[in-house]
Amino acid sequence: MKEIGIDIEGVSKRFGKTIAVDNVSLKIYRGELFSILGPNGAGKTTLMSMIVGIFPPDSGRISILGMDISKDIDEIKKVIGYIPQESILYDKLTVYENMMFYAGLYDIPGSKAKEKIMKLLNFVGLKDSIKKRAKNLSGGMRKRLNIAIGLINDPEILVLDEPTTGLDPNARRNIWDLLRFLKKEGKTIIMATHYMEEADELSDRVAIMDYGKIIALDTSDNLKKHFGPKTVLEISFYKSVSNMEEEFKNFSINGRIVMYNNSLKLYAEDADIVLPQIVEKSLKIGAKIKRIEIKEPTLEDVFIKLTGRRLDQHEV
Amino acid sequence: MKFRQILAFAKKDLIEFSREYETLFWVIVFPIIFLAIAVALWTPSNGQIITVKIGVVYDDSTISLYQFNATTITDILSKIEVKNKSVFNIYEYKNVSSGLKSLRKGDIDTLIVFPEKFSQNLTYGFTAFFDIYVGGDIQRRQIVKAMVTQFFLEFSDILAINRTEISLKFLSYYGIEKYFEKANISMEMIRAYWYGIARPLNFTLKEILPETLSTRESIIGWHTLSMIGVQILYTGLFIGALTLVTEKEAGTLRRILSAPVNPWNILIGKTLGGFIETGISILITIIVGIFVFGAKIVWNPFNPAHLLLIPLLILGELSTIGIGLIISIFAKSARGASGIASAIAWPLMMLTGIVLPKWLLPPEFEILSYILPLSQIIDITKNIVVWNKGLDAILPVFPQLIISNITIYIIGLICYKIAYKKMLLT
Repeated sequence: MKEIGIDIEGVSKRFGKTIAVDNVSLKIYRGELFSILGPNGAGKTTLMSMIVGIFPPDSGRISILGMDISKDIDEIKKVIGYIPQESILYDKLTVYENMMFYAGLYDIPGSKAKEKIMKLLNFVGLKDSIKKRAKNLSGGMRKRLNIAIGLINDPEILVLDEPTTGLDPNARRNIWDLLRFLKKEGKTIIMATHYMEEADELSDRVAIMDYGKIIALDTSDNLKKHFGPKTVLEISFYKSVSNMEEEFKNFSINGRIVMYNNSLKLYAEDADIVLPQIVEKSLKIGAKIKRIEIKEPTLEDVFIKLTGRRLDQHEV
Repeated sequence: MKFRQILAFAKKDLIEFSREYETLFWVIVFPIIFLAIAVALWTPSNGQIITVKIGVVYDDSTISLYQFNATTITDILSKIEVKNKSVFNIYEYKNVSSGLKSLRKGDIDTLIVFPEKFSQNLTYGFTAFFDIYVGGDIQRRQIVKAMVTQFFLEFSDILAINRTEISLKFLSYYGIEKYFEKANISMEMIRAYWYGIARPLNFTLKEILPETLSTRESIIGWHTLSMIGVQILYTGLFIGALTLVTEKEAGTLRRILSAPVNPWNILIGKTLGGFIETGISILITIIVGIFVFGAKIVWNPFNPAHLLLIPLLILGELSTIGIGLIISIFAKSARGASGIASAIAWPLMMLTGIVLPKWLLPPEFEILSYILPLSQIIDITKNIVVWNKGLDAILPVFPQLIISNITIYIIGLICYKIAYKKMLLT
């Protein structure tokens, strides 16, 4: 029996007339790397903020390691390390001074803090930059320092909001390696992301969130199996013609297709049946095909299938 | 209350303060520049001699007939010196119109016109009438008027006494005094009576300024304390107004709040940092005031009145932080908060008696100085450190100042709580 680390039951949060989180229920197990995948504005950050105790939910209940967030907020905060999306560094302070500041917030005595800081900077590969001011760090270094700060209180649960946004592929891989290591160490990690590869690559389970609701929750493979199409066809044209969406939508399951630049993506049960029909249609309407790719479905395809939108766009 | 959290904020703010050139300028350099300007503009230099340019027109044809004439007066004027420097420089004009033309142009400060028979009247012992025209701006005009009037009043007085003595000699010369002696009236009595006619009132004007204000050094001391008021005002307003909004803009507020940090500890930590910053800047201002500008500031740590100033100044800073916290409710960005704080700081600084003496303010603004507790505190500080007053300057108003400062701070705390909740949800 898996032990529950975070238990969220019927949680809602409203800002004015906007419902940011709408009756969300989740169980996250200890030692699990759990991703919340969704487009910008889906409510991921609001949900994370409530988990880490920045503000309380309007309704519902959150319990962390068996403690109720409405009663034991200070104790809960001690076991959580939060790494928000935005930079949490003071540019005028050095790497060491930044870490010392956050160590102070967790009431860690000076000598113990110093020891921890050296260990963590070694872990994130920033030991040589200890005297550098934060403003002189690269984007990747800043994110790594954010993670080191998130670990300053040796948390059992690490909450990361978009940890790799804005990073180049190499820096992103570095962060992924750090997260894998932390998972191995037994940390429970919750990560909000809008990068489907990130969620796919790292997570034990993925929750897909849209408009404040969890619309699907399972392992990445199960999600693709249950919600994804069997085949994804990606067709690039030399140039698009008018009404392409209308012309091709009948070839896709449920009529859902995605157009971007001069390409379209559609979903089929059997590519061998649909493909000749698509080629014929293209010739008929004068859209010259450049390339056709037949792919395995991804989490983004699951999202598209569920919502009719891509992760990086709000509406189609 | 967790001291490590409070110290973390205070230390972080101090490091940022020491590396932020703009803040260093406003908190340390700006008050020193302001002090230098105050010293240059509003402090008289020791032994400064004012020279008056006097134009003279001799419309008097009797000058050549008498040894004691109009030119004798201008000669005396031109020979008056203070510290080997002439006080009056004389320029002769042919007629009144050319003299007035120069006066209007500002070439001379005053024009003296000696009319026909002036010298004759002077010699005969009659009243010698003449005209004095004074020009220049209002301040210069008052100084020149005072100097010239003073000279002629004293000159006229000496003339009157001399004429009395000459008249008394005539009494003896013509043997008239014996008739007075028969009537039992002595020459001394006659002299005293005639002196009374010549000089019905004889007074001595003595200027007695408070010891500390009577010198340039103590006036600079007064200005130095004004600058301390400015520093408290600025740092207090900025700490209060920027406490939350800067953390929010830096993106650090959410991270801070995910740690087990009480929002009050943020405020206490930042206030402590602000107190240390203000303390450093006050110390620098006092050192610069004393050693660069020569300010005289009397501080005795064994004097209870002087010791009470420390909690009083802390209270003053707390109330300005309170005003800053009230501002924080309306500020949507750090820039906006700074803008509102500056917009409030300037009039408070200039119109509440912190920088300018209260008696210089128009009556409608004077009331402001009683509304802002910091203004009263700076006043008391000046009274004690500059005017050398004792506990009587502080004790009667101490309870009232505690209540007013704490009230403003509590209102600020309520606003902080509101701003804090607002920041979390936006």
